[in-house]
Amino acid sequence: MYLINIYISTRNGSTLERLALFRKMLTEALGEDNFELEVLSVLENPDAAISDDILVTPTIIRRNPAPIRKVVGNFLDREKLFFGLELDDTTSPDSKIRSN
Amino acid sequence: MIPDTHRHCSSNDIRILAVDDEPSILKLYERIIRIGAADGCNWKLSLCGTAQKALDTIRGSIAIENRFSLVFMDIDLASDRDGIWAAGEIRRLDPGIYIVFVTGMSRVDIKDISARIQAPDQIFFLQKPFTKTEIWQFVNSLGARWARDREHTKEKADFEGRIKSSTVRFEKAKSVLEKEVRKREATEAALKEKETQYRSIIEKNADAMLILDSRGIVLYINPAAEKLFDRKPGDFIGKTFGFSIISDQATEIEIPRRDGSMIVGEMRTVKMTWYTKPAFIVSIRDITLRKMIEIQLKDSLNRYERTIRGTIQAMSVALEKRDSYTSGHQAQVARIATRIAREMQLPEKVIEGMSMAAMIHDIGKIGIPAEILSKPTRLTSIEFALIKTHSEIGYSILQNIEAPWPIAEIVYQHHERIDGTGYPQGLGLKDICMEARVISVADTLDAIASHRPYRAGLGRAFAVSEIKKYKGDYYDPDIVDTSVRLYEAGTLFDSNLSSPATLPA
Repeated sequence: MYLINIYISTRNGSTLERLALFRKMLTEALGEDNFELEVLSVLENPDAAISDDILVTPTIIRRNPAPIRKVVGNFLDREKLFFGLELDDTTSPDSKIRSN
Repeated sequence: MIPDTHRHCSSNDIRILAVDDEPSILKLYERIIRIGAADGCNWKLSLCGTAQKALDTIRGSIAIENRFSLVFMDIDLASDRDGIWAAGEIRRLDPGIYIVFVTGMSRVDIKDISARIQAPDQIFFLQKPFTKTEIWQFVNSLGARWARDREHTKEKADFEGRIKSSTVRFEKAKSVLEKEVRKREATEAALKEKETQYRSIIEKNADAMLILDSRGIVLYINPAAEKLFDRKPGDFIGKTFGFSIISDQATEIEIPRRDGSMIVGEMRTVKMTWYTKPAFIVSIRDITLRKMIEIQLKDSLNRYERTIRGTIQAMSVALEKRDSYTSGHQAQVARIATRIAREMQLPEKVIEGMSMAAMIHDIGKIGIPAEILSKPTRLTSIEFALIKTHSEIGYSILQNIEAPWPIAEIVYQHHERIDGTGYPQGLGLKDICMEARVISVADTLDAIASHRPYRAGLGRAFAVSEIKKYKGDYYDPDIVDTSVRLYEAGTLFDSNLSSPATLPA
């Protein structure tokens, strides 16, 4: 089970729209039951942001499984995000070959 | 016979030179050596009666590389120079040769003679009268030593040759290595110089810049970044910024500051080397002000478009108040044209402009006498010519309005026909804008279907058959086909003909 945190600044319309796309992307790639996504606002969770060394938003953290992986910037670039977070995209041809 | 103790003579050839001014002594040498040679030893004897002959013989042996191992030299040579002189010369010519001085003198100063000739360890003395055994001992012993010396000299020469060859190879390798080291040092120096320049550029850059290692850990931040983040380098260095996605396009990010404010930044990441190690440089440009201006501009544009929309609506209403037969026509044309354009998947911005233009496409009729517009009988050719000026009048009214759409042009062209028979300019298909071509079809459809001052409405089916009739002549075939398709689907016209004169959604 992947535990993914995403730090954002504000929950405005555009951000919520992008977060919905992000959740959809993760569901498609990882499967609905294989990840847990927690959205954290740096303004609402300043202590957690300091503890996680959040310097900019959006910052995406793969908290579980260890080791922690951190990506900043465009979280909708699926290929690069999955590479940076070392997530196993079950829909990619490579993954299918591995699982066989 | 050689005594048993001397029978094991060397298998090597031993060349012997005997020098004496007494022929009887030379003959004695000959006899002794012959006996030795007959006993299986490879001894070869040369005889000389004078010092000069002895030197010539030695020179000859050197020339053909068939050297003597030892020389028996009579010290007291009566004929010319003495044996000591001759031995000294021979030693100079052939340093490896063994010399045995032979003398009948009872007292010989061995020390003095040895001091006068080089290599005293290769000098021996034999008292006359000598025995054959003494000669054989000298020949056998010194011949073997001479052969061993030669072997050693050869081995030494070979060894020295190998050492020399190895030294040359090592020198070459050393030279190549030194060259490589110098090259690397130069490359490293150039790299360091380049990186120093990088650092200087980064330090002075107005954009915030962070250098990350391959794991996303911050190695360095420039002064602009300290300012942008409102933090000290200590708050960054060694912390994990994160894996920054490299893309051709900049990524928009937000930076929360300590005072609670938020900065909008444009982030770019590129690969580089930082002090010879792979690294990433993240540059962040503060676009907070630009974003604010963009929002304000968008608001202004929206307000501006709303104003234009309102103005057009007001102009449309004004015209329709004057000419009751135009009432509802322009709005109806706008709705029909919009449906056609949407079906044709024209860009939204094009549809928007076309709809605006359709709402006021007959605005030029404001310049035509009301009596002509509402004349219940057929128009005369002069009256019709007057009516036709409404496109140009409309253009002149609208041309100075700065709108985000080409409304004046569309109005100007809405009576053009693709075969060039339209008015006012007689343009062909390629010169009539798409918006005007769609309005031209929608205008015809509504004009035929609706009531006119001089006739009753001819019906929608007839209107559609008319545009089909002139498809490709007056009207754009694609627009006609789309209109027919919509008509057959029942979505071309309003369900209620008396719809209010409002802009279509």
